Amino acid sequence: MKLRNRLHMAMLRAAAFLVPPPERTDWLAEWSAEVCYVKHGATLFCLGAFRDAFWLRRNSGAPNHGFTFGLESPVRCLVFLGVLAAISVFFAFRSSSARELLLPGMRDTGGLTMLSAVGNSEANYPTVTVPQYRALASRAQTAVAFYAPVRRRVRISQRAPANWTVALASDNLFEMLEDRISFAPDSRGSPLILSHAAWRRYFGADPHAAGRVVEVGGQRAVVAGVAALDSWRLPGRPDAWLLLDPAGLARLSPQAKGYVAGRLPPGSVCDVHFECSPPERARFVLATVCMFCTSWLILPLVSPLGLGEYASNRRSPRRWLFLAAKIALLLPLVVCGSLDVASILAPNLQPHGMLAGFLAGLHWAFADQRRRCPVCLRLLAHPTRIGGASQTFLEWYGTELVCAHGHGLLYVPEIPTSSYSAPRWQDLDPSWSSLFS
Amino acid sequence: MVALEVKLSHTAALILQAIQAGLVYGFSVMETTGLPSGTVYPALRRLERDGLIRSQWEAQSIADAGLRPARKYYKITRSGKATLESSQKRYPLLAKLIPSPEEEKA
Repeated sequence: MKLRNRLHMAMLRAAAFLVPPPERTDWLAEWSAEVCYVKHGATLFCLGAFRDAFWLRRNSGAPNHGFTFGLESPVRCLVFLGVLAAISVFFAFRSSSARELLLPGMRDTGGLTMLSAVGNSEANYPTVTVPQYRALASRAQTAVAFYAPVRRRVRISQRAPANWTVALASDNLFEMLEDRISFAPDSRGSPLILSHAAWRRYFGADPHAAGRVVEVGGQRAVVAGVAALDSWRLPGRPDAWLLLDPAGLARLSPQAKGYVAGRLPPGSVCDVHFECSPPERARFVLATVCMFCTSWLILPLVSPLGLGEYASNRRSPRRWLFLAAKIALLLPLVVCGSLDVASILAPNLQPHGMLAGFLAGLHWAFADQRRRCPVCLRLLAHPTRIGGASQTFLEWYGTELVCAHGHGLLYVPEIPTSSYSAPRWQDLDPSWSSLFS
Repeated sequence: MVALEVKLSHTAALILQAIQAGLVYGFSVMETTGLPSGTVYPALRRLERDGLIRSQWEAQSIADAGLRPARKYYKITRSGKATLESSQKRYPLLAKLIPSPEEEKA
């Protein structure tokens, strides 16, 4: 009960941040007093506080209570975005897998390549059979490794069995990937390397998980280690890798198909029976382009795209260049930011995070553009409610904002009508400049 | 000069009727009208902004006696009563939804 009360108070305090400072104390006191009487549905009651706070924020008489973060100047805005993008890129490049995705020409681990059957280089499913792999391994001059993701019932002691995606892999896979996992042979079962996500989910991030015996598809396996969080993101995204010696690999069905990864020295040519492609790079680029285009399609549904009505002599390229610069800086911020967040939460959520990031970023870019003077590109200030209360809706007729340098006024109608449906800019004659000096 | 007559929406009129009926606290209005908090409280702000109701904090001594924090209560103003009367002509069922104290006594 106390925890719920604390949660409700936390919600009210969070909503209070939206209320203009002069009215905040009073507002919070009112809602805090009322929530004491709510016996059922207090959470829903507190959610309504956000709506009330937003209303107060929009209708407050305070001169300028918006969050500007000092970004009135267009230069500051672009510098701020640039700094955010640089931070995001810096943290993304700390991961070797992200470096490989973002810099296709850079192979800092000696040419790691995915090999697939001829004609299937773009396929996102396994294409190489075990006999094909064994033939390649016998004639390849460098190390190649094989793994085939399959669904297996995994039983861990003291836990209910669960279905995992287990990659049946050749025992040289991690050595070939140069991941720092070393283990000694164990007679109790085949070595099992856990993914970071599976280690956290099924073993509670237990630092002593190594050595535990589990059952994979009815066969005993021994947990030999955990793949690093920034390990290579190989196709298939298995929960664990079950390493098999050549004899174990030979017992796999000849029709079973898997992925082959190998290291090709610079300048070497791929085997004639296989095609080479970097791990996931092509798919990442395609996913980025798709998410960016999809965000533009969805954007009109969640945000108005119109930038208002301006006189024809105000259609200078400067406004559009500023908008284009903001969107250009958003690209690395969102792409690298989604990689950063996905590496912490779950790699599978990276495309979703990218889509959400593009949508939020584009929404902000257009909203910011609407609030700026078309001449000097500074944020408009001093919102003023104008017009009498409507006889029908009890709402003010519109809001007027002014450029602090006296370039003009922006009129934003509260209710779209046949006369005014979009924000309208009005230039001020230079004779008004004395009022703004 | 013709005085502007404020026309209320049904929701706003319902809330004003509730205050007229003696439900002076925001949560009481919510319970009686069945409207969510996100509708009632912004509507109370609008009504107060337009001078149809006024708010006041109850005396701290009353709150202390009840071992609870002081609450804000709302009362209808003269112009609010006039507006409510005209709204009752537009929405005849309004008075039946939340009867006023006089009607209840009758």
